[in-house]
Amino acid sequence: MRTIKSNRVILGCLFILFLFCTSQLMAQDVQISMKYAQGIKHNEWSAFKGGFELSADYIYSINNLRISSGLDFRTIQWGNQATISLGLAKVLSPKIELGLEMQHGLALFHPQSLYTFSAGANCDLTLVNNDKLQMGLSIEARYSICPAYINYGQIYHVTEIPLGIFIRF
Amino acid sequence: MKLVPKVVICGMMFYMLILLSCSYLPENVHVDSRLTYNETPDYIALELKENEADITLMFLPGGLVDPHAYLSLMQRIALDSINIVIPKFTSNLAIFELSKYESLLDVFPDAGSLYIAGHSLGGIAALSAVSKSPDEFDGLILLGTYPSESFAISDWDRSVLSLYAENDSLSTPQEVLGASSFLPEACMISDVSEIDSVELLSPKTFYYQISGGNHAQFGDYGAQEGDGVATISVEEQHEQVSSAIIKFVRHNENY
Repeated sequence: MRTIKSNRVILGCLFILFLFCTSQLMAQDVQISMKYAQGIKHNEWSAFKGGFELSADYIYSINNLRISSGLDFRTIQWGNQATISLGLAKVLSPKIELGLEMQHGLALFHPQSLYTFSAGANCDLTLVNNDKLQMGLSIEARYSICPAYINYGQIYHVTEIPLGIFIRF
Repeated sequence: MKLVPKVVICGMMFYMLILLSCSYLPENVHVDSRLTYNETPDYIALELKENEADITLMFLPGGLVDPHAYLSLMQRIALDSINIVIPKFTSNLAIFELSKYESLLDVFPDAGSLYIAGHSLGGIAALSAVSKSPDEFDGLILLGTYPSESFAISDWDRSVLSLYAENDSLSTPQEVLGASSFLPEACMISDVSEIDSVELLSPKTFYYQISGGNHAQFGDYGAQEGDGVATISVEEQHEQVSSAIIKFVRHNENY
């Protein structure tokens, strides 16, 4: 029971860290994304169903650069995970951005969650752009690993192609 | 909407989502060297080496339980020449992919006699599979779970084994026995060996209570919130459960 409580404390700290990061950035936009990740590699190359992802990010723009920080929740081979993300993107045109993103967080388990890490490169294509909101599509190549899960299952790292839609407002 | 309320609302939603989606990790993962272990993104398979078993048991894990938490129970059954397939589900919730068994039937076309089993929420998914494809399965095994009216299979022409634990507070013995009208004719047994003495001229539901057992010990993932306290060890519960399953399957194969 004590470990379950410590789990919640860690998750609470992640949430506070998220609030701190976003307030420090003096964010201008909120981005909500939904993605489906198509798996392409685990221990071997093969197509498999990855998972679904919901994320909320704050985006701060400086000239042609966008810095993002947010929370991600997704389903993955080892169950569910929640991460804090940090990204940097270059605006190539009003419609296209290329960026890099990394995520640190927890694979969500009782009695103790496990550390997980992801890194990837993404391309965002804006399809709707007006004063109130932007909407578009995104594609990414991402590697994720949950190192301690090797003690439980054979598949503890995956490479996926997440495809998604995003809304900024 | 101002920025701070947006942050707070998003953050609180995520926090709730996170708290509700933790899975139970296995306590112990060890695979017997006499078994072949094969894991893919879709399933875990166990089979006895140098053996071509013609019986397969598809086991659906409980909700929010890591599928590896059932390896210690399932390998006892695999060692008796029954192939085991444990599907993996999105978010470890079988209820999200009720049709996953169909794709696995294609992966194992030579499964032989096919039995489906499930623990807790996995049992509900197993009941759903039987309701949807009654001819695909030769028997059903329920661990710490019971059907509701919407998954009633009382007119199914195959037999069922329902195992329930004395100290299970999540699927109590009263709840399990109270749902007997949704399954084939009930047959109470107090000892596993009694299964052999029952003639399966018509489909039966064998009810067997694991004395001293609880809900979580059908798997091997430690204590579960809301569950009762077991007075027998995980190993003892697994021994009783695996013996009952093996007896049921072997007896059923004679008919």
